[in-house]
Amino acid sequence: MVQGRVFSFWLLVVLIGSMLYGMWRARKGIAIKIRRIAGLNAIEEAVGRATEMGRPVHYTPGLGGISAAEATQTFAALAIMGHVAHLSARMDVPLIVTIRQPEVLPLAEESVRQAYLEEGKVDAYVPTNIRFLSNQQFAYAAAVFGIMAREKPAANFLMGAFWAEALMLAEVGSEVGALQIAGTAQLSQVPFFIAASDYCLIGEELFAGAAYLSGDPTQMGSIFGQDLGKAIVALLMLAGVIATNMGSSFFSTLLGK
Amino acid sequence: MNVSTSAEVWIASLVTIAIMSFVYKDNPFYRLVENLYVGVSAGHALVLGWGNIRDLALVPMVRDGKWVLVIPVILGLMLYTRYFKKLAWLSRIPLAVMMGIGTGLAISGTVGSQIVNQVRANLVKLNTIDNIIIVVGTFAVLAYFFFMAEHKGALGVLAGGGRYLMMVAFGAAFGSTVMGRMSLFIGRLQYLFGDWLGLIR
Repeated sequence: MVQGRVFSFWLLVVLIGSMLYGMWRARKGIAIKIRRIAGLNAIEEAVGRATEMGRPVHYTPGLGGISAAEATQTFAALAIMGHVAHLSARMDVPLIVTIRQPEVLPLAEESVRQAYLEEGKVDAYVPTNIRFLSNQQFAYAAAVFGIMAREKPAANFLMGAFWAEALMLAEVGSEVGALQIAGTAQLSQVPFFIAASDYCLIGEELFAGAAYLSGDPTQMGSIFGQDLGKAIVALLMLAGVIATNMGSSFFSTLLGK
Repeated sequence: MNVSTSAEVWIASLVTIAIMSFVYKDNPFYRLVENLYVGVSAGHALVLGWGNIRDLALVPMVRDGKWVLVIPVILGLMLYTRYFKKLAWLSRIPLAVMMGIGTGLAISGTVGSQIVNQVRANLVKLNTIDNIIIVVGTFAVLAYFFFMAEHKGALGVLAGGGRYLMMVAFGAAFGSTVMGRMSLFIGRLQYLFGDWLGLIR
């Protein structure tokens, strides 16, 4: 094994084990409850607001693709988008989805179409509302500004991976009076979403939110597994801090292996 | 006043002003530049895409005999089958490959950089205020991200502290980024008033 990666490997095995255990529990039917996340509870309120105001909902699954390190954020954003699409179909409110990465387009189209189908509103599905704009970061952002300024969504969802355009997107949404719910695991962009949005899913809340909204027992079980993994890491850290303060370098050596 | 005579500088300056005019409100000049930007970037992407196919696939295959590269080329072509109803299911295969790669990349980087290195950074002597804040802060923020338990009692106090600590960190990050953005804005103003209008040097 590569020196310096041995401990990471075994920790990964333990974390995967805890996830599998969580999924097994969920499949056995053991109820899993997660704590209240304000941003998730506000999704229905935001779509309802759009219905009352007769204005559309705008959703972006971020600027990340599906084959890079940010892929997990895009998947989580697409899962939340499915829930928003269900609500939009149910409440008869147009859903505009703007896409930056070409490979995300078919996934978004499929997800929204499926939601409309499941709600029995397939005729209300408008394919042209799922819009690929540009794969160039600021060209995409400029096009989203234009769409928001002209179509004035009453609810604006910014979920997934964002970079320097994050504050600008949230600012324009705020300018047109949209109720904004944002979520990203790009920690450098979280401050902007907190400042300019009504609700913000911080880091892992995005992934937990996606699993929670899916209602899928396997995904819910993965949240349990993640919490178990975090508890293991916290215990490891606690033992390491105590050992270090007692003069032992055991944990430093162990983690360096 | 020494106004630039370069067409390039004039175009860049007028486009900059048109984009900035959005701060006032949506207008025809912004719309023109918005469409120009999207169109130019589409053309740019097309040229880059062709360059990638030529340099990373066609040339290595034909010139160097690396025929294994035909696999990603076929996977790429399969993406277009979504336009044919009977073959549309084939487009899911390359998407699944890409999603698999994305998930694998995310996992491989996460354990080492975001877990092991974080734990190692906390193995410090608790003999300074800084070190105590680092260790207690890490536990507090970690407590905030437990989802299976309501934030009540001791966990609630710890998670609440974690939330405040995160807000302090986000505030600092916000301030430093805004300063960075201001310097970008100043750079554009220098371009407009210096390179274009020649009012400043």
